[in-house]
Amino acid sequence: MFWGEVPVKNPRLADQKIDGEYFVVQPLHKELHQMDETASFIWQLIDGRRNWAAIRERIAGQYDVSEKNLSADIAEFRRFLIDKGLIGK
Amino acid sequence: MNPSVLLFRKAFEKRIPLETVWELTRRCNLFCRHCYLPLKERRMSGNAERVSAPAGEIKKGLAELKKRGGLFLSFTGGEPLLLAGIWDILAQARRLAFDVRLFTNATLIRREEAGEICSLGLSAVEISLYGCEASTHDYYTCSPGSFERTVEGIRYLTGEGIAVWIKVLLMRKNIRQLNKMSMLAGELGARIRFDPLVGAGYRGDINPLKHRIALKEIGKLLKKSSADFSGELPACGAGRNIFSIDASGNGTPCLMLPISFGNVFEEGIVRVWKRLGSFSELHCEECAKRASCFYCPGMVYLEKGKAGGRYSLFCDMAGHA
Repeated sequence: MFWGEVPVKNPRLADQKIDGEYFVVQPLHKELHQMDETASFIWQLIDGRRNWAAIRERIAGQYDVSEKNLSADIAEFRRFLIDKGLIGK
Repeated sequence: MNPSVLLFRKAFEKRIPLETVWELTRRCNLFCRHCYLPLKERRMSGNAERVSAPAGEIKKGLAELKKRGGLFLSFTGGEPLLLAGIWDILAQARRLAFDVRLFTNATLIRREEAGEICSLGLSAVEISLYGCEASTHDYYTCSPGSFERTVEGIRYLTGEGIAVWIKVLLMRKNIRQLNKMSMLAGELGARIRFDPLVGAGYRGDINPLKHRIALKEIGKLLKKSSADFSGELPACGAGRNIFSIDASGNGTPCLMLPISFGNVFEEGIVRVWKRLGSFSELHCEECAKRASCFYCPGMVYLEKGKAGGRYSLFCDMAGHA
């Protein structure tokens, strides 16, 4: 599993938080991604120091969600971030 | 809804300076005959400090802009690469996670500069080109050899994999070179876009208008390019989600609307942007052609000396679209 992995944002991105949601520009793919409230919370936690386990712990403290569902959601979001080139592998 | 449309709409409604066009200097190494900036201010000799922004102040302003909701940033000139400290400014803008574009004539870009731009992660470089051959381009820039240097600069940039947009202002001498310019852009690995309308210069200078192509030619172009112009045009965001800052630090709705709402170096971005909220430009609210109108308040301001109101040029263009 990937929980010990420390995600690092792609340094080529641009982002801005507007109305509680992050908008992230991926210039290489010429894409703009809008993140919902939960995704924005995770995006903010990706600071190049925390690993995925620490991020999961912070989210568990914030949202009322079962551990199984939370782990699955984070895994899916991580896959999305990697596929879109928003974080390094 | 497309996130880009949503983002700009949100910023428009909430008056967030999502996009800023920052003029770093008015000095230029070319002397384009159609430029809207006064030639005296573009000349490279003397008074550099009066027509160039102080790098330290710009860096401070960038942090303020980011806090206020800024995301897209375009640095322009004059020729921005003439500004001492330009690389520090670009680096700072990228550190703050802005999406940065550089508007340049590319004559000062060689391998080293292209490498630097690549490593900084600028999203694109936009370059003005006025013809597919030296005789036309150099005629407009009044600078022999500029075509070659610009094309060479583009090659260095695309060689580094940097996204390059060639911007062509269509004028009387280059209007017949559309296809050849598109081919040249393809050969250089760049994308290209055309602007059919030369505007007047600052302080009532109507000389640039001599180079404007005839309305019927503009009409033909709009018809030919219908795919590019289809759909409702976005409302002008000047002063709503777009902010402009000139080389002296004056905050304006747009560089084409040089109406100062205060100096950002003296008062800070937040105060000037807030004051800019009193700017409103309304035009033709009830017009049936509004959705296909290219109305540019800045162009109207430079030609008529006042912002807003009906302007027949755009009415006629909307009729052709």
